[in-house]
Amino acid sequence: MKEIWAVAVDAGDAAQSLAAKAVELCAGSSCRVVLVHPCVENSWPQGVTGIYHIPLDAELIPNYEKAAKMISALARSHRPNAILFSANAFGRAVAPWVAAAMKTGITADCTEVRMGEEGRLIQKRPTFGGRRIATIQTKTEPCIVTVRSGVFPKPQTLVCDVRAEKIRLGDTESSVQLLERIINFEPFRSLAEEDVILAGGLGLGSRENFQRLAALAERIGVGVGASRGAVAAGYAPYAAQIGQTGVTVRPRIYVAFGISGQVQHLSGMSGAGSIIAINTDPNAPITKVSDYVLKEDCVKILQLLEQQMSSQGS
Amino acid sequence: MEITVLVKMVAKVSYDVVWDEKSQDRLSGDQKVINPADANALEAALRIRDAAGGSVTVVSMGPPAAESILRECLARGADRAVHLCDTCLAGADTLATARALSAAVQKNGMPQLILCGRRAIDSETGHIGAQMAAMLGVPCIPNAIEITFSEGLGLTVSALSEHETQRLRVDRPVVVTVCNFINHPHQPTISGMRAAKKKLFCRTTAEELGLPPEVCGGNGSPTVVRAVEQGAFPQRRARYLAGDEESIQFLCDLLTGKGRTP
Repeated sequence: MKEIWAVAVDAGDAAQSLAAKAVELCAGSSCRVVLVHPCVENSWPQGVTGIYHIPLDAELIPNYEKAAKMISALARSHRPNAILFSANAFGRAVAPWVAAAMKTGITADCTEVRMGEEGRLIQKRPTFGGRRIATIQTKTEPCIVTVRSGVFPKPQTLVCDVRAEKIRLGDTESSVQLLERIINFEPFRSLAEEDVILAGGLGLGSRENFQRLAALAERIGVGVGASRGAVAAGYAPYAAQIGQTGVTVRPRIYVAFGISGQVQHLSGMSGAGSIIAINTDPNAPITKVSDYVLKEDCVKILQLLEQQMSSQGS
Repeated sequence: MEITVLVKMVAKVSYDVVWDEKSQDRLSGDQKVINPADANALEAALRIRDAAGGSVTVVSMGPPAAESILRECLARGADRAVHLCDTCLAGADTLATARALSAAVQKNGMPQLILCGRRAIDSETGHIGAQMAAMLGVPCIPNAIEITFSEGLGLTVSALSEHETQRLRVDRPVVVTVCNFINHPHQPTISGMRAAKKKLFCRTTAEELGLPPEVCGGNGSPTVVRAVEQGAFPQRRARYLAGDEESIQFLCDLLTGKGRTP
């Protein structure tokens, strides 16, 4: 490979591990970070040879198309062999747009990417809800991949003076106009590095109860995550979603509050050290991968935990 | 407003599907249904049509069996159906699928609004909306949780980003992918099923859409599936705890680092 790009929307853990993966894959040749963020961040893993800085806020949906057009234009002129995206809301929207614009192949939600023969990436992704693992190769270039957060290790050291080239915003006219930002959730801590995670599912029954779980997690200083069901019901943001279409986590302790354990969820958390399931259904799929099962209403247990923590003054 | 809804036929319980080595097909021996989020997209389309006028066309690419889900869409209230059915389309990856669907969608003039589910429950890529938007040269709004249309304001969409819900005004034409909690789809009624028999059902081929064989199906797909293996989760034997004080204390100690990891 002559050149690999990692597209980042910040300089957080997921972005750094993606950049480190790109460095590893390009094995000494050129590796660039395409940073889509209002401000430039110059600290990246050793081996990143440069930054293309696109000064746009990746949180804003109207910017998806603008960023996709700019990344496609950059890729047409610099011809990278592969472009890696994190499988966050931005990456999931922009990567397929870029792939279609460049008439090239794309693989979603990869959990493994490595170099194969003839310089073609070997991409593995779970499919059919994690029941199967497909191995995929791409015949065209650039090979475009979205990578599930949390599957690659965080780099140990960063160098702080990676040279950035600011990309001039092209045609900023958009046919999508932002009317209102309804900020739902505080920015979430990156779940991938958490030692202990409390995760909530539909069994919590309401967004208020999820927020109680989040408050409890905050209080004891641990992470909070959610099942796809809880995200779909509007209890929690995408950033909190654990599983096939969210983040992969491997905490030391994972406590599932009212999560039945669809295979999609299990594929993102079954590698945890100890798994404790709180569920009224003793035969829910999650119990098959759990070390402890508390057969109780998770809201009741949440309340008891809140009381216990208060009385202990922690 | 002219609205096109893309629907995919999927196996009812996607993770019970058996990968068929011989046909390299994912749909062997299971009940076929409309991909759940696509049913939500159809429901959203029907509500906009009923409020603002126009018509709803459903389009599906798939084997002959996919006719049944298109018929069901007609029974639910869609006005016409287009079935893109051609053996040369088999084995298409998302790029080749989006290319074929884009050709089908544009065949009788560009619709104002193209809707589909945010992802299919079988392959779970979520690519098609954005790929078609790029090919058709229109914007794509992913993860919609509300779509409204009024003469004054036009089309407004509330959609989820990573941390937010954003309300957007969009010019048409546009592709919108919907979350499955945007609405509760109505089931077909008896009168709906009766009416469906008289509605236009059009079956079309790649050739009729002007798609040469080299851009269709496996030939037109830049990604190749090299292997499919069994995925497995480490099974554990759970200890069952009672919901008593002792268990709560155990949990508390564990979470605050006082207890030992089991």
